[in-house]
Amino acid sequence: MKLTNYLSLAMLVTCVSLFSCSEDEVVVDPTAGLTKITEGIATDAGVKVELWAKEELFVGYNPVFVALYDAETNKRITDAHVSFGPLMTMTTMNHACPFENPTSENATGYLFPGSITFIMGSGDMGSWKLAVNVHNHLSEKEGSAELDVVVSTPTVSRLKSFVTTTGEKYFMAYTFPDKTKVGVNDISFMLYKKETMMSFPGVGDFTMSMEPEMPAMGHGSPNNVNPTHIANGAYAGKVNFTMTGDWRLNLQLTKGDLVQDVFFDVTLN
Amino acid sequence: MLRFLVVFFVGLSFAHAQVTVPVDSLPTRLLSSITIQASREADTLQRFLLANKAMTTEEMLAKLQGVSLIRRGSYGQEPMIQGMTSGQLNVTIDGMKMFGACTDKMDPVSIYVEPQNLQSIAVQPGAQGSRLGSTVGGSINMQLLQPEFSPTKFGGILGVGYQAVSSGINAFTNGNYSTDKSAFNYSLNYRKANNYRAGGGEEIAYTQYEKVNVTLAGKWKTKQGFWSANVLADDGWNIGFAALPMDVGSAKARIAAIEYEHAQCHGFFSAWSAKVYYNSVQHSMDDSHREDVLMHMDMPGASTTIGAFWEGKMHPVGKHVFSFRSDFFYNDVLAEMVMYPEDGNPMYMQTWPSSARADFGLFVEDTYTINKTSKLKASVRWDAAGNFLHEGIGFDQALVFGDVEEHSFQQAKSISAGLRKQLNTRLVVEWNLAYSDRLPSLSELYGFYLFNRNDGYDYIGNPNLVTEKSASSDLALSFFSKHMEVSVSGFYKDLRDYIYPTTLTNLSAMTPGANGVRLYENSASAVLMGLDFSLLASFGKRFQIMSSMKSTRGIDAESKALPLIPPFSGNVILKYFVLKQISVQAECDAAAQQDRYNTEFGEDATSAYAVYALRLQRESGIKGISVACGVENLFDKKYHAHLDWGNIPRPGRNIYVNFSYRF
Repeated sequence: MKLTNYLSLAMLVTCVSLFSCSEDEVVVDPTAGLTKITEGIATDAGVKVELWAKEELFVGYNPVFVALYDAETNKRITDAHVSFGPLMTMTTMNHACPFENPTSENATGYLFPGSITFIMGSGDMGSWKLAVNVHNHLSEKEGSAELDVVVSTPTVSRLKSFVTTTGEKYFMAYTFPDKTKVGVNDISFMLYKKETMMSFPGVGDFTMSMEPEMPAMGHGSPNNVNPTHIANGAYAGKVNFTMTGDWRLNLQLTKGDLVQDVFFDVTLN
Repeated sequence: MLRFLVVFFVGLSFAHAQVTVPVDSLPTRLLSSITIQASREADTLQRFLLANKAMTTEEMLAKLQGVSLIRRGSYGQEPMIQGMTSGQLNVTIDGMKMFGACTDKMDPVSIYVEPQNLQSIAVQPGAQGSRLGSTVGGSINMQLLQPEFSPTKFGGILGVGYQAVSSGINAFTNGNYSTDKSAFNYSLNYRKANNYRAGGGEEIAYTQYEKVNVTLAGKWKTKQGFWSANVLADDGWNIGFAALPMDVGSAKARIAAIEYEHAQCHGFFSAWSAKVYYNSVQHSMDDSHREDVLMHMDMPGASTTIGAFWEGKMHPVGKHVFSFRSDFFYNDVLAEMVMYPEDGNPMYMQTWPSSARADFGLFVEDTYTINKTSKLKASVRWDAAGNFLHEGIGFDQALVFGDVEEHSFQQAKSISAGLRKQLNTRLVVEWNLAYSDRLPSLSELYGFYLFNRNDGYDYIGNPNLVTEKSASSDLALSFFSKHMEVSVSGFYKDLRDYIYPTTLTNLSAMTPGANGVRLYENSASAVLMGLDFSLLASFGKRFQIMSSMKSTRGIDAESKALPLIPPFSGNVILKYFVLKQISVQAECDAAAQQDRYNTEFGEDATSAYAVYALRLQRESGIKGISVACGVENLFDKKYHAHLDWGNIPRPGRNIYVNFSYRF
């Protein structure tokens, strides 16, 4: 009899303590799997800014994630207008690069997602600063955090550029939304046009066809899906890898009379 | 066809020759397919062949009725019955299912059995072979030597041999130890051969091999039956395959089984036995000895099978004798390929994705004695099988061709009926009719860019394959007398949903230099027909003749010749006993020209050939030394058979000698 009484009591205590958990404690780490790049303060907005990404920043398409905290209370801010201002300072001039601002003013999983497509690496040529502009909806204050970032230049190029016969310059990069594997992979290509030193809008009026191949063997793979434009210069397709190793994604871009061949080398481990 | 008829009539004329009645005559008759299940005994032809101690199991198979071999290397030839191979056949060891681990079929199950461990080989063409599994082609069951209960406590044999054509040696020993209640046997076999010389003296590269085979078996008497356990280990290494772009680096097989046989039953059954078994094969291909390799690759493969069966015979119920078998196996395979380009990262893929088949089967047969001279045998078999494509890289690879099911279920059925009638004391006629299905193999279902050296295509598996179906009829006429057995049989098979490759023009090949990609499909139909002939005769006390001939024709849905169909071929062996223990033998192996070939599968015409051998044998009695020596391919002819891939020449003149000591 006594034993069952003790058991019931134990159960009751457990239940009560479970139900009394505060919301804050049941949180999945939003930055799991991401790398913290750097952080700074947007003083005028009273906001601490953390910059996160899938990997260290490189020349190519970088999905980035911004986490905002109140500078004084350190509480997360999930309602704000965030925009980017990348700038490379070189000896003779400055220039920007393509980027995507977070589309919503509400954070997704406590983070504001966007992208920066760096078109050059940090080094002797110059250095990069990323301005993260924040309009804090709680305090109605606006400000900017100037973050120093280091952009590496990968040995296997993840950004390609070309100049057309009419003198227009384009930049192209790619990203795999999920970890690459043997079989069917979603892939997105980003195409930007350089309008000015500071403006690189996405271009959506090209037609793309894609042929992956393994240069060491000279064979391709079946049933790939040509990338088609979704929005803002992003083209989504599917690439099929029949085995691990070195692959080359051959793309042909056409717009009217303009035909341009671009390729990216990708290694699947 | 005409040539065959000529030989046939010549053969028959022997049958009508006058024979005296000597004291010892031929001990057993050729086992017909109706009586074959009853016995584990080797028939006379097999005992004849087993006496040649250097012979390999494959060389023996090639001389059996209806059996041909596809040769890709000098060791590891793939058996074929009446034009059917591989997934169309059941090849078993003591009733145990075993599957190769090599995508290129370099490891047919017959390589794991040495003639030293063989009791007999039971070859049952067509649906008669469905006792052991769903099949359209038939079954080859290699029955291992069981430990013997004998008054001699311990006895055995030790032997060694040398073959000049390949500077090859073989050494073997086997022995039997017996007590009142238990018996054990062991065997150990070692073979090593270097490259052989073809007719004319040219050394043929990549024809070397080396292997070791060990078996151990035990048998224990119980009140009503026997327990037996056996293990087999076979390791081969550095095995050349001249017709393929790679050799075998290593091939390891392990087999273990436990069986219980129950005899003298009083209930329904007159005898039954149950067996549980396990076998595994690890195989890896190796191109490190080859020159001009475009890209070095490692190709390891593994195949593991566990299984069990229960079979038995009932006491006669009126004129019926029923027998049954229920069996199960689970076979899991994986074949991988890693390619190493000169610059760049290694490339990994699975040519057989990690996949498995589970198969449960039921077989029932009734032998009905109509009267003193006629017997009717009817049998049915039903298989339920699951095909499984395991999660992982292999599954992800398959998705490049579209959605794939993780598992699929299939059934196969077979039904056959045969009538055996003794026309008079010497003539027996047998007529069999059968319908049977066979399940597609895991390679045909899930294979991924398997390069076929013969036609130069990459093959892709088709998970949507249905069973291959065969309607067949065969008729056999046999003549038995005290000194002669002659048998002629003809078969006709109508195949539907025949599993045959289709070229896919929209896909590009993967293997550098390949002609394209082929997909396994159930094609409309195919027809296979043929005639088999065999003869055993003795003349006087000293003279024996054995001969077998086979002829097959295969036609696909478009009336073109099927690939890999052997031409009319046969052998004749004449044996003369100089003394009771000393005999000489003259042999001829011949084949006609094969003009019916299929160029889409990389075939060409093959010239006719005849090769001769002379053998001399001195058998010991119960104890003592036996010697065998002789010359094969006496006239050093350079030749190859139609089923030899790549037209690689066969060995030239081979002088060999074998010593064995029986203790």
